[in-house]
Amino acid sequence: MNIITKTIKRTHSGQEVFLFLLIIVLILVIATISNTTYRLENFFDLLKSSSSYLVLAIAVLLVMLSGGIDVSFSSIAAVTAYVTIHYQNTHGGGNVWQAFLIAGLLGVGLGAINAVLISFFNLPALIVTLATSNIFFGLLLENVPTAHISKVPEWVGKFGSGRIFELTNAAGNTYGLSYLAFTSLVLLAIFAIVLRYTGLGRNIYAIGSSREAARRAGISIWRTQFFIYCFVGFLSGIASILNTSLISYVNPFNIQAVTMDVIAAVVLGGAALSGGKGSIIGSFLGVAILFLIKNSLVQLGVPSTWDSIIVGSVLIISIAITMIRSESN
Amino acid sequence: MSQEFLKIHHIYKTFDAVKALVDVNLQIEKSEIHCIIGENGCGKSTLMKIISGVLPYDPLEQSYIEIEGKRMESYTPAIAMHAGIQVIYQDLALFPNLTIAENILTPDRIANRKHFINHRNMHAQAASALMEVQLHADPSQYVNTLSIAQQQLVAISRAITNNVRLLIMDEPTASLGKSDVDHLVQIILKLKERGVAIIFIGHKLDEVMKIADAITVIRDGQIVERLDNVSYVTERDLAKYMTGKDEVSYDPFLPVIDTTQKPVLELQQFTKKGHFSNIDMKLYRGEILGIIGLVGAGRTELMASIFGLDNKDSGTLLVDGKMVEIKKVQDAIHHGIALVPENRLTEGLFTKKSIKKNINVTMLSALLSKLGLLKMDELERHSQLWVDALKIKTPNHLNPATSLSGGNQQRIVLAKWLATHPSILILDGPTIGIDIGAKAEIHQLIRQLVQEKHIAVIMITDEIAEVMQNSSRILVMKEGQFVLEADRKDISEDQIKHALGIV
Repeated sequence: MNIITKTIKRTHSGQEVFLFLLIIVLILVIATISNTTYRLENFFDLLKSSSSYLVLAIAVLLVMLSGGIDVSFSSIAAVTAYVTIHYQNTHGGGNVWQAFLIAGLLGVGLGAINAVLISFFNLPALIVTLATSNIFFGLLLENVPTAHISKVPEWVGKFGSGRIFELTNAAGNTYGLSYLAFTSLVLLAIFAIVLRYTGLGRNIYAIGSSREAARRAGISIWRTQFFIYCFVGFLSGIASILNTSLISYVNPFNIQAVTMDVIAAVVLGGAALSGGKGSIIGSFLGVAILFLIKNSLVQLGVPSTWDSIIVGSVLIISIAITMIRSESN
Repeated sequence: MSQEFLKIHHIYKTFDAVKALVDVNLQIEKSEIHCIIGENGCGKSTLMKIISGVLPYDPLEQSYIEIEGKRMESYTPAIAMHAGIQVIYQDLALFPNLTIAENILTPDRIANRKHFINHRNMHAQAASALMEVQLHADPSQYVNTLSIAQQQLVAISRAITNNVRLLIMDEPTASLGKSDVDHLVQIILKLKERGVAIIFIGHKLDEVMKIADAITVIRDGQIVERLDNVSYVTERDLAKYMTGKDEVSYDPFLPVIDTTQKPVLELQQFTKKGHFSNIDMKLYRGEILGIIGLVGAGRTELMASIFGLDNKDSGTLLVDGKMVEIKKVQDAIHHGIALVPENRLTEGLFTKKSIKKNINVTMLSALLSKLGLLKMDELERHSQLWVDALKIKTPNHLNPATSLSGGNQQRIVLAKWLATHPSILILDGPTIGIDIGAKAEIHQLIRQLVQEKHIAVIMITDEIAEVMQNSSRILVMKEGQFVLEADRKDISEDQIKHALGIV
């Protein structure tokens, strides 16, 4: 045990490098045990199936960087998915842009409710979003008890299976970068830039690092927070469309169940619950590790009921590693 | 041409019915180093908040603030900052998870509404700011990897970058070592050369104040002294101005100790790797044993291991001549040991809880009824008893601990441990952050306890005067070992300084 602790402490490089190495080890281990080889196509598959998680991870990262927390994002996504697809079904089908627009705006609206409660009334973020999560999801089920939509607009299939570019492997099968993965990669890139190169992004880090110091430096805390919680809503809306496109039907329960997975991935990616620490690359790698583990469980024939046990364990291990590493600094 | 920078006229400040400031007039010249001192709660922090615009003063006809001869019509934090008034609070208000460069330049970015960030540019700017304060660090280093002294320099260079004209520093030397203080003095003299005015706030005469051009003393919201010639001022004079009383006489405490008796506590070859090694120590009833050492000498760790907060690696501990094993705090309490920790706010008190709850907390198991429930009337009586016994000044023991001054807070911590009737009382820094007046009272109280209850006290401090005034036997600790052991009457301050290596 001591040796492990020491090894972890000695890796002084950033959490990102550490995670990257962890991924390589994971791939090697899984490949050895399950006797499969990892190819580029596996990588593209992984990106596609994790696309909505990646977008939600951005949302969770933003709010955690600011020292807050939001657990309502998945309920918001469940609502936006249902409302958007229902609207399009009853209004001639629409297209993917319209879907993003409706879901995004509705998400901002719901996020704004959190924002008002947290920023203006200064209520604790965890309680507020726990409450609104229940309210949003409850209202959805109250109005549409069978909130499944299995008949989705035509664009869903095209967008869900479309690719930006295609490659052919030795066996003659095509694979490539899906629209879904592309969308999430673009958003990741945009937010990486926002967080590093804009005043807004730095303000988010600043208020999470020390709220008092931020106030004295003249940063408007309520305005920054307001933006964050609205943006969580927006990103949840976008993620809900990606999720719907991936599974080709609307299932609120499927979306709502991801809350803890996403938070776990972001924490694994090096974000601190206390705020001010974390990065887009870290969160990306966190999601990647989570999916690698989940996928490999399937390949190894482990029943899917084990998923949540594994996610819980991953969360504990990752937080332990983070603590040991911060101790050494 | 007038050289004055800031002038405040007839400032009053009232909170509810309490007069925090009464008719305060103050003038600060350019290039002036001005110290403002006073006891806790005298109004000096209120005054600083008014100067920085955070608090409004009472709107009276005769009250106004003048900056460079211009009467300010309105006065807000933004206006004060724009005029070049910068405050460095004790907590420094830095962003621990951000780089040095960002810490220095964030206020500038906010003030100038810069929406995009050029990291290279920022680092270059920060590097030149660091040169000014002679801090040799990489601007991309995270602030939480720096020492307190280095963090303070970052805060100063942040102020310089924001065109400081008047720098206000709240107790800047409170947590600095000697060489860091010297460095700070240099930087301040450099700022003075550039025409920056500096205000220090404090409650004791220290190295920094020796370079002051003027000292203003505040007591009960009023300016009681303004000293323009600092070189002849002694700590004793200042104490008198601050408290308004003549100094409490300080005869050294020299009880006769019978060293043939069994020591109440004895340590043999106490060792904890990296903290202390081969410590031998004897403690007798009726004495105050002074252990003096600088921060990091291992004194706090040694006491923690005696009290069972931390385990030692090897060594024997004897209480009343019997070997005992102390593995946890409960064991120590059982053997009659009590520890008053160094930081009463974080380790000694439940600050937001009532005085009553704080006092009762060590005695809960003794105040149970037959059913195992707490006896409410006993709790009430027990707490009131100690409030009276230690003369804790409070209108009501249901008030929170934070409502008290530092000296009275320390009395609560003492009360809750005295209630356990210890035979060995360890006091780690018993008067840190306590005003001169209250400090003398705490010392008297400790002496009285030793005499009346015939207990043994270990007093740990880094103030030489404190051990010289109160201890009958003195141990000097350095780098985890006792380097000097002597009776009070056989030793001089210089010898202690020499042993500590600070001359």
